[in-house]
Amino acid sequence: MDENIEKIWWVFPRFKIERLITGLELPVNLAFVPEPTDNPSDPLLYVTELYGKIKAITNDWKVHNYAESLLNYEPNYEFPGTGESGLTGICVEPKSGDLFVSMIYEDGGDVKNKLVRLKSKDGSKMDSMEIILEDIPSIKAAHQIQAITIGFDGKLYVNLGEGMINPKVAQDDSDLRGKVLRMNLDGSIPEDNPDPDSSVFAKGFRNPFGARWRKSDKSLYISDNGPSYDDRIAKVEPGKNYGWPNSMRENSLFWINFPEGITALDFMQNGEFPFGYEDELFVAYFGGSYVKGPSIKGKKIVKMKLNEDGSAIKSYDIFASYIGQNAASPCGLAFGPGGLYFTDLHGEKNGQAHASSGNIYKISSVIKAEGEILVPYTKENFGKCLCPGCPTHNECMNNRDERLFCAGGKTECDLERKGCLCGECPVESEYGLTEFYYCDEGAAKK
Amino acid sequence: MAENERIVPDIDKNASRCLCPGCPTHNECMKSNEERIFCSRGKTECNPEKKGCLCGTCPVEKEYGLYDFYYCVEGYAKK
Repeated sequence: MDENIEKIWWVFPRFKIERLITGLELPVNLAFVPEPTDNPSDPLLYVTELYGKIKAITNDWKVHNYAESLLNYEPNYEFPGTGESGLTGICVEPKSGDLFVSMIYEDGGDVKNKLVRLKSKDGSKMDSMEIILEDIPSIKAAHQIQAITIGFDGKLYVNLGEGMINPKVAQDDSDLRGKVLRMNLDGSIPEDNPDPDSSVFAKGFRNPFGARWRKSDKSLYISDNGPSYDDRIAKVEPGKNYGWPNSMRENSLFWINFPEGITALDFMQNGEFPFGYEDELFVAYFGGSYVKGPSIKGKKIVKMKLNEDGSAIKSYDIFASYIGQNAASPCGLAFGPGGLYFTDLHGEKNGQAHASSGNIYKISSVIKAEGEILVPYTKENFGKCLCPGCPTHNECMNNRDERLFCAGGKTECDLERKGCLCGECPVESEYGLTEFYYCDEGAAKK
Repeated sequence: MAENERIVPDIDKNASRCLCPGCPTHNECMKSNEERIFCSRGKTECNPEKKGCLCGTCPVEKEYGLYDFYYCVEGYAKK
């Protein structure tokens, strides 16, 4: 691990953090290609930069200028305030590799929202733009068009902020602001929408920054920023009212009363972390829009375990936290190959965000680190492991459900060596190990 | 039992260092009979279920250069 990174980011035990990309200008959101190729020059992920640029990052981790000057106005770098808006949401259409992105624009002095589809021959540079949705009133103050996702049904889902000035529009069925929209990929209204004449899928949102689909219940989850109270996460279901401006709690899965500026979210659902984290929800808590140094508000990533039907949170942990001295804070977040990736928006060097110092970080499990650990930390090996019956396996380890130390590394529990079962363990024999006390000595290495 | 085959002498020093009493395979029957140091005394008649074996880290096994497991089931260590 980079020594400097350890001084600015704390990460959960048994995970490590590394900086993969630097020099980005206000990187907001990340979108991985759903099924990337092995070709080094093919795209792996895309990043929206708030003031109108998109970077394509190829499998060889080279950064390409996919699109520039997408905003038709000069942003003013005011944080907090009118500099908080611009180009935000992004997703990759799985079949074509086209991008759907959301942004605001000026039209005769008015500020409006639009959603566009961008095409590229090789995925590294935009060739054409098609407008899918436009002419929706907006504001240069964050509550704009936000996350875009494509559901398991192949439809396009769009988060729209309520525009701040008149929050009541979130309850107006004829107004698209303060809603989650459901559309066909060409922008037309699907016949099976809650109202077949409207793209409104659900209403009553304030500033729904993030959105992600959960595999286990085939449902859409969004983050929504409250005013001076109640940031929330909600499972979005057709035709439901989520309450704003009367309530930020109505039909919500979870809320925090002291708001922390919740931004992007994602589920660990493709084996990027060890199996114990399967289906956990990871959420970026951004915090204030420009706060230097560590902060009580935000500047962290939180992980949560939901119950099966997504009606309650079962556990809650801080997963990463900024401990440096600058304005960096987690904003965009997405699982990708081998770990959790996130952007830090301002990065480490910005004064008031005039420099290109935003970064992309990756947090990965030490347990799953390839080329180091001999025994894979799998559910199967976990089940075969004899550690729970071992006299050295103490109450602390038991309370943490720790075992399979030959794969997962040593415990942080204090232990007294009272004998070791490893020599007769089927995991030890399967992988040709010969040592003992991995709980004390650390994982078996190649 | 031919004494010249036995590797581990049945002496108090070995019996006191033996890890068998803390072993998950060491069952109630063996405990009630105060059985231990099977690498020296030979297998039990208590019908143990194999639940793991501590012999690999036992100081007795180490001192006498043993490398097997489950002496309580298989019998004492032989030369």
